[in-house]
Amino acid sequence: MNRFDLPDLGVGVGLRVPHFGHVTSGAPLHVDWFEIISENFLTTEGRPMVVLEQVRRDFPVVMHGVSMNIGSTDPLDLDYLAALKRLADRIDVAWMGDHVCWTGVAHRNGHDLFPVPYTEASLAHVVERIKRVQGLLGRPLVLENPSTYLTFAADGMPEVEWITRMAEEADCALLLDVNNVYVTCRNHGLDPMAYLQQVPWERVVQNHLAGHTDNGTHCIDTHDDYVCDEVWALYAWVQRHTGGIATLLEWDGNVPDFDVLEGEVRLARERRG
Amino acid sequence: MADPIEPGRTPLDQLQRWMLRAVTHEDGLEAGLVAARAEGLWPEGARTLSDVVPGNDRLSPEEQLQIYAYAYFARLHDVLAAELPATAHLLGDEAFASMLRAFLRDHPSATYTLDRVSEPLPAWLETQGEPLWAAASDIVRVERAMDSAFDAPPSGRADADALAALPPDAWATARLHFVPALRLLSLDHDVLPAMEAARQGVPAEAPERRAAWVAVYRTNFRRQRSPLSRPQFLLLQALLDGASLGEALEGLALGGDVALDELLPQVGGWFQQWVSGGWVAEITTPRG
Repeated sequence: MNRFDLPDLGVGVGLRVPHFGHVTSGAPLHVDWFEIISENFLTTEGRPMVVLEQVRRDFPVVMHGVSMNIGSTDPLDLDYLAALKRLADRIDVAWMGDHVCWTGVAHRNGHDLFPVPYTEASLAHVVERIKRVQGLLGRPLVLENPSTYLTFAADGMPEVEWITRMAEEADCALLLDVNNVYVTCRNHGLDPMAYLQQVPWERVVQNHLAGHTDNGTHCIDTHDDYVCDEVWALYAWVQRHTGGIATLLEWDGNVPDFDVLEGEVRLARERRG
Repeated sequence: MADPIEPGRTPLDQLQRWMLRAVTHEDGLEAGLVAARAEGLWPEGARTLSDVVPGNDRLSPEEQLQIYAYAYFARLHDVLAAELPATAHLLGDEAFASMLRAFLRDHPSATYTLDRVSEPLPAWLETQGEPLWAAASDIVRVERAMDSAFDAPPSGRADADALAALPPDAWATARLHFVPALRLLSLDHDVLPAMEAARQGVPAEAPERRAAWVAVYRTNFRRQRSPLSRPQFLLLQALLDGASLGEALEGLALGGDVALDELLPQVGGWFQQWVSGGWVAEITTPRG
């Protein structure tokens, strides 16, 4: 169990539009829980919300956002945070989070998970913002390690060290995306197992699994394919090492039929032992 | 044109403003790096790109930044092409992409949700001096209204029995309460034929420039659109604004918009259409 006493929910999948019909059809669903992209449900009262409320009656739901912009130098978007809190309370989510990144600055949004330079100054900046957000939301924030495609000359420490200090100093929880560890380490010539061995596991409440695109010189976190063997091996180590962490399979591009996701869920369960 | 980005005050702020400018430039990364330099956004103390992004033995700094620059436009293009399929169909793939780049130059996204990126698009298209783009602005309006209808809350709907149960002497004071998903649009172009061509995947003619009115609604969570006559639009608008049927008809007659003797014979049929289409949530009379 993690230090936040958040439960191991088993293995879940993302709630995505192509599966709305299937997940509300009454057919048996061989998954343990669902994760939503928070922003997809903040501005709708239509079918997405109707489906979400139906799913929530039968399954735990976790909110995972892409727009908190926690690493930015822009002011926090209080309207956005208030909308997140309303949705979290309405759906009674198991937990909620976002990414260790920035998405925009100067009041412009790049709609991407841009990397933060891993410096002492950025660490102090992000820690202070996480504390404020956790105060506003009234719950721990669960932040995910990103896939990154560049490093900055200003970086003063490895990503895993920076994220560990961030989590400890802000007292927040972590979502350890195993595929992102693999992609980032491949892109920057690092050893993913060495990365995993430095993770503060008592703060990790969730894992992500996904497929990526390997371009030879670099990998892109595309979420459009099966989980590769190397990531499965890292994931198996994580589950053995920790005794079990709630796991979410992401598949966002070329989304296949639901039974394909259930097949990946079955493989994840096998590796959880 | 969008306001320029001000230089950052701290090293972190400088780095972020520089990177955002570089990877979101409408003409690509190279132009973005040049613009960032010209606009004073380059991080303090950095003379070359590798002073900011060192790169590695497999990818140069430019190649690493290019991953983000490519993703920025590709993501927005894919989202807006999915949101505005008839607009994209009318303009064609290449022209749609060019239009988007110019639009994003003038209206870079400032919203956390991708749903709102196209909010300023109709008004912007109208001001570009391109007749086809002006016509496309009305297609964007309809497509955005259809998305808005999709996201409206569910509600009950009146059925034909409710309409039939209305006593003849209650019609004048009856009020129609419409479902939250109903949207009315008054347009400068007859865009529905082009939208239907897009739906069927056949070439679309440029929409004719003439006044047109459209209702957008949804049935069982499926987005729908329907042409309206001008009297229908005016009557619906008055009813949506809270007028009783008698008040709405009187208002139209007094405004000289519609001849009442032409209007009255059609109203019963319209009501049936609106009720059967699921536009009406409830019909009330002063007696309840």
